[in-house]
Amino acid sequence: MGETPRVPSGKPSQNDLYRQAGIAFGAALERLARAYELDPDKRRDLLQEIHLALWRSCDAFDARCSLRTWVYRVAHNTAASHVIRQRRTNSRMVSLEEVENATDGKDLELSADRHQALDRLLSVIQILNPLDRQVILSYLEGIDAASIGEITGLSAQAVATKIHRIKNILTRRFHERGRHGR
Amino acid sequence: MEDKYSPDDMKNLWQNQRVEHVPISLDDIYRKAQELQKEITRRTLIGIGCVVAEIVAFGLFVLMFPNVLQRIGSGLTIAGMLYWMYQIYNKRTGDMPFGRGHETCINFLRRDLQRQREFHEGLSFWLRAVTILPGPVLFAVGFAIADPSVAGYIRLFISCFVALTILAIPLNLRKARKYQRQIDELDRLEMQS
Repeated sequence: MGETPRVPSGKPSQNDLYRQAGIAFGAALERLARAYELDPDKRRDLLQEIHLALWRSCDAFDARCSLRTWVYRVAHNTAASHVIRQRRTNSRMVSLEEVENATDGKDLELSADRHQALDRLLSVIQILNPLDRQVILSYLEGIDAASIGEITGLSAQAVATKIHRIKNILTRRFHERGRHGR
Repeated sequence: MEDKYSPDDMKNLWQNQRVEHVPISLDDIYRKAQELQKEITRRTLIGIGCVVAEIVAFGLFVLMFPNVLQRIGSGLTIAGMLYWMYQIYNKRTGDMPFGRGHETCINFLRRDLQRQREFHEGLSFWLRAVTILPGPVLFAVGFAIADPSVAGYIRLFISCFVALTILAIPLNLRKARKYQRQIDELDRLEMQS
C-alpha cells in the first residue's frame, strides 16, 4: 500500500478532506470495523462512529503527518474506545505473546477455504488487546513498520518485534500445521 | 485439507476480503452527530434530574427536621452529590475525540488508562470518598438522636455504610494498580530502542 501524499498548503475544507479520506480509505475502514466488532449491527454503528470522528477530526488536520497516518490514528483510537467500552461484556483480551505461545485449539480448525481462513484470522485478531490489534491490522493492510510506529507511537524495535511475532503466528496457524497435517 | 497461506498471502486475503459496503454520506454523518448530541443531552438531563430530586428531598429535610445533625447531614449530602455530578461531567468532557488524529494510539490508550487509574486512586477518588461519607452518616446519627427507638437500625445502617466505603478503598486501589501495570507496559514499549 503506497503512502498518500501529505496535503499541500491551501488547506482543503473539512468536508473535502473527509471525502478524500473516505475515497482513499473507506474500504480499509470497513475492514478495520470488522476486525473490531463481530456483531453486524454494532459494526455498522462502530463504522458510523469512526466516520463521525474522522469528519470531526478533519477540521483539526494540519498535515503534520500524512492523511493515511491521521485516518488510521482516528479510526484505531475510536475503535479502541469502542473495545474499552465493551470490555466488561467481552472475554479477556490477550497479547500477541500469549497467542504465540498458546497451543492451537479446536476453535482454530484448519481449512483451505478462504472464508474460513478469514474467519480464523478474525478470531485471532479479536482476542488481542487494542495495541496488538492495531499492529496486526496495520500489518495486514500492508503498512510498513515505520508508518505503523507513526500511527501507534510504538518504537521501531517494538514494531519489529511484534511483526515478527505476527508472522510467526500466521505461519504456524495458517501454513506449517496444514503442510504437516494434523 | 491443507492450509496454503503464508503471511503475505494472509495480507492479500485480508485486503481482498469481501466486506459489506455501508455507504455513509455527509448527511449520515450530520445525523449521527445530532443523535450523539441528543444522547449526551438525554443522559445529562437524567443525571441532573436525579441530583435535583435529591437536592429537593434533602433540602426539605433541612427545613423539616429540627435536629441540627440531620440538617448538617442533609446539607453535606447535597454538597457530596453536587461534587459527584461535577466529577462525572468533568470526566465526560475530558475525552476529546476531535483531536484523536494528533494522538498516537499508545498515547490515546495511556491517557485513557491514566484517567481510569485516577478515578480509582487519585485525588478524585479520595475526594469522592470524603464528600460522600459524612453527609449520610451525620444525617443517620441525627435521626437516631431525634428518635432513639430506631437507633439499632441506624447503627446497622452506619456500620454497613462505613464498612462498604472502607472495603471500596482496597478494591479501588487494586484496580488502580492494574491500570498502572498496563501504563508501565505501554511506557516500556514506547521506550524500547
